[in-house]
Amino acid sequence: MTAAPRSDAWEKVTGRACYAVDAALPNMAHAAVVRSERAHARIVGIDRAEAEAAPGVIAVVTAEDLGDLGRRFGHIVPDHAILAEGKVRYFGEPVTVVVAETPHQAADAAELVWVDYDDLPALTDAATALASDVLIHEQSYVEPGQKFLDVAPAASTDNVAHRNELAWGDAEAALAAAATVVETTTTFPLVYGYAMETYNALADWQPGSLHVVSTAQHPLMVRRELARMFSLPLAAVRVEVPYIGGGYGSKSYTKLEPLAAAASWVAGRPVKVTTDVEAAMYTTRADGALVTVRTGFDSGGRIVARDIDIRFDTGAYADNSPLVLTKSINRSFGPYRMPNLRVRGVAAYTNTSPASSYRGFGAPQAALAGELNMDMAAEELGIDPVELRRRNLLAPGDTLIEGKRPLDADLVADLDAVAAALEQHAAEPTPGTLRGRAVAVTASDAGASPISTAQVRMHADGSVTLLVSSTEMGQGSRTALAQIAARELCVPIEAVAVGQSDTRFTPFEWTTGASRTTTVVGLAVQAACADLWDNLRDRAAESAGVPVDEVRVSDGLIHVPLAARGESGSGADTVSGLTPAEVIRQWFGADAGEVVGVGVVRRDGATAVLPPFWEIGAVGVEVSVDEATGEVTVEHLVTVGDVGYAVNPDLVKGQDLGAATQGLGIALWEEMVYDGEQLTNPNLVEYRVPRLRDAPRRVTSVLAERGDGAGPYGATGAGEGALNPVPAAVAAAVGRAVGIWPTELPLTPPRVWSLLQQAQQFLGGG
Amino acid sequence: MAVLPELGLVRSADLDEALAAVGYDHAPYAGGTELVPAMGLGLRRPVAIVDLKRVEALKGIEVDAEGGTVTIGAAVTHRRLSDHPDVQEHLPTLAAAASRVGNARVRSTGTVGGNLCFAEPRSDLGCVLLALGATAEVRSAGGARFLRIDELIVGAFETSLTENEILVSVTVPFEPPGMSYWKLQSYERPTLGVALVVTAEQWEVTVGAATERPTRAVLAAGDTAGLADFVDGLELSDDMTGPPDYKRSVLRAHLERALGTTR
Repeated sequence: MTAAPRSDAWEKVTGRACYAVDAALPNMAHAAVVRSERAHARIVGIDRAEAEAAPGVIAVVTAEDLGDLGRRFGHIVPDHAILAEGKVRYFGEPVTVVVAETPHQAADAAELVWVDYDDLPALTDAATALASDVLIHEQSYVEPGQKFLDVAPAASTDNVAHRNELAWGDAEAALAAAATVVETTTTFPLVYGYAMETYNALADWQPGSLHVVSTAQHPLMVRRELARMFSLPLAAVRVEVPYIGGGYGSKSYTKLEPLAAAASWVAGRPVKVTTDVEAAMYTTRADGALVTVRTGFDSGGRIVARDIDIRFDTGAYADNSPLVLTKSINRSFGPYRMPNLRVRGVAAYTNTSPASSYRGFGAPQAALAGELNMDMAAEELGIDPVELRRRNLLAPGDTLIEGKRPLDADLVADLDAVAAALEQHAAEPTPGTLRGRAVAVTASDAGASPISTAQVRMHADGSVTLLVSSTEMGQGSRTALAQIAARELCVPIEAVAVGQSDTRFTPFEWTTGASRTTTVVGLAVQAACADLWDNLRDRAAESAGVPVDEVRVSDGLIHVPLAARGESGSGADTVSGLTPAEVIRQWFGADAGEVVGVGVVRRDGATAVLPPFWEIGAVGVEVSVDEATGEVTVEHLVTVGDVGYAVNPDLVKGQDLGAATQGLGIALWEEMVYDGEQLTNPNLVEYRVPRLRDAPRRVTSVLAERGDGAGPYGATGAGEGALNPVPAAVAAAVGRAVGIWPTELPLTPPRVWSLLQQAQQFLGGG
Repeated sequence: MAVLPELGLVRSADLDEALAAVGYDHAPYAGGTELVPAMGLGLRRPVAIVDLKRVEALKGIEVDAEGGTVTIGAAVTHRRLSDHPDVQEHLPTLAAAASRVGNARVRSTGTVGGNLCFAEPRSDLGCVLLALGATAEVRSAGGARFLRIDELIVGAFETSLTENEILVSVTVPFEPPGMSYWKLQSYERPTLGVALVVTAEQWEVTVGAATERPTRAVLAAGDTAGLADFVDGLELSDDMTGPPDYKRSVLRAHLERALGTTR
């Protein structure tokens, strides 16, 4: 559409933007969380007398103080203890909350809480957990018929958080008959969705009501869980979400809010709970994954079947991982013609930090194996890897999964754009370095449930307040949604104000995730604007005393027959245009009033068929590898944002570059390392996120706008797409440079050096 | 722990006041880039910190042209060190190394003294200063001691300072010809640092970051066997930045490149 500056730029660069961590309420108390120092243990006793006697302490809260409150949360499997009860399941799990007058007093008193543990075997990886007789959860929390979206949670207690599969045709037979079968196994690390703002929540319980300000991506989901926990009507629970300093899925669903709310309930004061990076890493991470892909090809390099096994390390609680696993399965086989398929997935409970949503939602984990497998196959078949993909990619309108929306993107065109850009800037290695290039393509069935409502309130001067419960976490949604409203209502963007989500005032929104906002919320905004025009027409007709069908709307003006307005004209068919502001003022009979439009999106119309869109990832990288140090430099990154239509091209490119950079972090640096029961690197010095110096030497960001999406003006989502294929592309490029295909990320300098050693031995020994 | 415990602050106006104040539970404090995170993690729990930032005697950079040395106060920040014209002129390798320590925030507040006294192995300055033959002046209320860098830093996170002593300054001879410093820094701190002074007669090799403390060898030029023995004999750390084999391999490759030797 047009470049529009971010509406939040001034607030943010001047430090005036408010985040949850800035929230305060009168009489607010502060919490310090006592966290488990065992990965798996029975709690024998908690001695809190000393802490209770410490200066400034208001309450020391343990699970036994929670009375008749709901003790556990979890929107799919309600397995997540608010405070550990009976046992702890991971190092860092909240055991006790100390509430005091100041953060210092709370922190000091927290050191005086003595927890006595009786150790249980710690199952800190998925293989161990699945093979063990020791149970992390001894009971099932699932009630028959319980379901979240299409996911029916597992009732089993064999350390399996979820199991799922997808199959058609006869993959085993097709693989047996295939001309070539290529197998790839990869390990995707445990990663932390690092955001500049950690998890924060402020809760104020009062009889009959609960008010929470938090870093929740999905305020309405949190409201639902809190209402259940406190047996309150939805309307009595108010969840406010100001700006969030980065989400990336890590702040989806419920996190700290129950802890803060329970502490407030016990203490009788508003209570604020904050986290540092270490506590945040022990709050949520992404699912680690071991994925094996076997692909069968015919003699012409066409895929005949894929057989895929996915094993997630889901951590101590299920959180959103059952859904992530289901999506990972859907995204594991690639946007390729697939006559036969079998995918089996299992998410294992382990005694580690609980995993949940993370940008890409299972796609990066699966694509690492799936797309690397295509490169390995290309080598084995003697076919160029771009050509091999071209031969197998689906065409626009093709079916990926029966019953789902046909493909709304041109993947071959996207891939060709990537390949052309890589080719254009391809360079020879400098002395002492090796080079490799690779492409990767993914398609994700966007988990963008089409449930959204928007409200536009037009004021007496024609300016507009847009109410949505979409959370602004840096992606620029307030700007993009304002642009859509401005365009629909023919007003300048400066005339549209968009505020924060607040469940007391802003209308229902399913979530802010799955790259859904521009598409789904955008449609709701469009519908609200259309409703506003209808209402303006009604008001104009009523003011003029004419039937509404004689009133016409065009070019931002409301045209009423002149005769009807009692004015003389040269002919009966002459009309004149009123501005919406004139219509409002005329109807109210004063320079006052407002007219409201409401828009709703549900599983109907443009969003009747799911997913609302396929989110595409099409990237290429060229890397150089230092032969002495194993350091990888990304020389060129190419992203193609196949977004149908870019409402704000700069913001789309920002999403693509940000997502791809996060992918580079996983590919090269990021890994939560467990050494025994606890993390060895729960800090940003040793958990290495990408830095400015790690940025690719050259970035080519292409937008493919073919108007083929279901969203406003043909738009689809951006946000996850450019991350999904990046880890795979980097692995393949490094593999090509070094001469050995990597099997494990991140490709840190020592790991790449070790690949170089292997390659040398291989050559030397061969 | 996100919240530091409450603690006292002693602001010393001069060195004597500071010397009188420091002690077992009164930690010297300048930039805080090492001390504050250590307190946050509960590794250091002083009752009070003794602020040295206003002690003028610790902040000088003075050239002794006759003696051919630069004396650098312990409370000089990395940024001031790297930007100072005298340091750039007489100690260009040290200035360059200081300009690449940590990150902008660390360089703006972190000090030479803090860096040396914390004795974090994964560090640059100790290695470069040992290679330069610097002398540290250490004081207590009772008097002064003068130590070589390898007498000051005696192990990982371990110095020979007593709890009543303060590092006042380091006196560094002007940089000799043929000096270089190279480091591999994949993470926030260096993985490996190598300072070389190469002349027609002699190879002086100082290795840091991967060793518990900077370690130096002086070899006759061309003594590749001696060099190999030195490299093979180094005890290298095993941590997230890589196993010892990796670090030794990177070290060998760098030395081959820098000294013009081949395997």
